[in-house]
Amino acid sequence: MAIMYALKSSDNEIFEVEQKVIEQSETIKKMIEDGAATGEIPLQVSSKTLAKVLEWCKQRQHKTVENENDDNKGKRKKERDEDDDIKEWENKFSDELKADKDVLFDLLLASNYLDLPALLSFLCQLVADMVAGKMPEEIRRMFNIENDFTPEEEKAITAEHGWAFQP
Amino acid sequence: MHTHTNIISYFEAEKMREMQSNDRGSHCFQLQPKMQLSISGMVLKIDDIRNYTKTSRKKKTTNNCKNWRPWPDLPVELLDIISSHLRIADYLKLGRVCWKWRYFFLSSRQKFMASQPPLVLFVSSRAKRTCCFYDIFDFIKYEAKLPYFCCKSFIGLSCGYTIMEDILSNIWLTNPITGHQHVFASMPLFDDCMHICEHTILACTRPYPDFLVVVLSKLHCIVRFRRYRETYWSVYHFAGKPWKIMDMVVFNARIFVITSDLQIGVLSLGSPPDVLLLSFKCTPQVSCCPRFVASNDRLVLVDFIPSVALAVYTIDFMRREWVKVDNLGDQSLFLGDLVTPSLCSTTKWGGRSNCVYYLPFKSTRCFVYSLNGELLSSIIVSEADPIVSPRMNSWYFPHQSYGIDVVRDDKYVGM
Repeated sequence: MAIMYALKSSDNEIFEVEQKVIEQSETIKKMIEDGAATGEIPLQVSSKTLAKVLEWCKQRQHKTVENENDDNKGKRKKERDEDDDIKEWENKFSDELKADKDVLFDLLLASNYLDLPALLSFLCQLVADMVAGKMPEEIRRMFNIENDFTPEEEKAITAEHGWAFQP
Repeated sequence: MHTHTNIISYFEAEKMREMQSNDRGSHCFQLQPKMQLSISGMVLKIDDIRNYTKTSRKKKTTNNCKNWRPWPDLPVELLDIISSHLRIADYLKLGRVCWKWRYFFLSSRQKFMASQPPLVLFVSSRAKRTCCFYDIFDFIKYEAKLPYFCCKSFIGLSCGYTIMEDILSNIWLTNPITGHQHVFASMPLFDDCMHICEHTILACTRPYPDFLVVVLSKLHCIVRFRRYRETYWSVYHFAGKPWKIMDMVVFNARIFVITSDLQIGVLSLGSPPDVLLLSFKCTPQVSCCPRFVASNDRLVLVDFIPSVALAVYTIDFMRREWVKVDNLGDQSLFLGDLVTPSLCSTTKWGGRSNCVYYLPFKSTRCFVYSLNGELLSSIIVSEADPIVSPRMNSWYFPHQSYGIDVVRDDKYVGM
C-alpha cells in the first residue's frame, strides 16, 4: 500500500499524492525526512499551479515505474514506443504552457521553490526556445514586458549591438 | 511609517537615476521605483505619492485586461539557467529587453562568454561587410556585419577585437560582440605592401588606462606600438641584433617576446623602447621557432609543424627553465595563423581534450592532432557555403571579448 501525503496549496485546496510522486521534489522530500510533514504539507503554490506540477511528477513517476517492471524481451521496441509517448506528452505539455505564459511563469517559480531539477530544466529550455531567434521587441510583446528604456538609452544599447552577431 | 526625509531621498534617488541615465557610457544605472515628482522643488506629501502609485497601477491593469506575470522579475538563478540554453546572438538580445534583464546581462556576460566554444571566423572576399562565425562543435553559423569593410584587409585578432587595416594604413579595431570600435590613424609604411604578414596585439595600459596596439614586423625587423591618446608610433629596431623577434604575447602585465635563437625577453615600452633578455635553462631542441599561447596562469609555447613536429612547453619562472608539457588535461590548444593560440577546456562542448585544433591559413577545414603529433580527424567547418571562399580565417575566442589584457606602461613606471 503506497503511503499518501496531503499537500495544501496556498488557496487551501488539498491534494492527496503518493509519496513516490512527491519525493521528486527535494524540498518536500527534505520536509518528510525532517519529520516536519505530519498531516497536511502547506505549500506556497496556488492550486492551479500545483495541479500542473503534480501532472508533471506523475508522468515522470509513471515512466520510471514502467522501466523497472520491464522484461528484457521486447524492451527495445517498448522503450522506443515509450520514448515517443513521452515526447508526445511533453510536446502537449509545452504547447499548453506556450499558450498560457502566466502558468509557465508560475510553474517556473514553483519548480524552483519545490526544487524539481528535471522540471526546472525542461521549463528553462522551453523559455530559451521561445526567446531564440526573436528580436527584443518581439520578446517584450510575448511576455508583456514593458520597455523601460528611454529612447536615448535604447538607441545607445542597440548601437552597441547594431551590426554584430545576426544569427 | 514614512518620514519627511524618506520622501526627499526618493526625490534625490529619482534625480540620480536621471543623471546616470544620461551618462550612457558608465553602465551603472540604478533601479528606482518609477515615480513622477513633477512639481519642481516641492516635495509631494505621502498621500499624493500613494495616490499616484495607486492610479498608475490601476491604469496598467485596465490597459492589459489581464493580470500579467512580472517576467522582468524572474529570479537571476532562473535567468542563468535559461541563458545557458541560448546561443550568443540570443543572449545578447536578452540584455536589450528591459532594465532588469540588462542588469542580469551585464553581471553575467563574462561567465556566459567563458562558457562558449572558440569560433572559426571567416572573412570572405566576396561579401564586403559580412564575416561569418562557425561553431565547429554544434555546426552553427553566425553572421556579423562589420562597418565599411570595403578596401580593408584583415590583419589579425586580439582580445576579442578584429584588427583590420585600410588602404591608408589606418588600423581599425572592431569587437563584433560588444560593438566597440577604435581607429588608430596611419601607421607608417615601409614600402607599398600591407601588413598582412605581421603580428598585432592589443592591450590596455596601466597605471594610466589607454589602448595600446603593438605590431611586430619580422620582415622589417621592427616592433611598432602606439597608445591611443598619442599621435605618434614608437619604433623598436632589431635589425642590428644577432637575432630576430619571432613572436610576442601579453603575460603577467608584460609583453614577452621570443627570439629566433630561442631567447625569451620582455619588451619595455619606455622611451626609447628596449628588449630585456632573460636567461632560461633547458632550452629545447625545436623544429621551428615556438609560438606563444595565451594562458592565464602560465607562459606556454608551442612548437608545431603539421604532421612533422608538435611539442608544448611552459616556462618555470622560479627555476628559470623550460619545461616540456606532456598533458594538457581537459584543455585543448587552438592554433591558427593570425591570432595568438589559446588553451580552452573542450569537454563541455563534446570536443576532444588534450589535443591541438589547427586551422590552416585560408582553409575551410580544421585539423585535430593528438599531443604526440598524430592526425586524429579533420572537421569541415563549412560545406558548400557560397559566401565562404575565405580571404582570411582565424579563431575567435568569445571568452576574450569582454576583457583586455593589461600591460604595465614603462613610460610611467620604471622597468
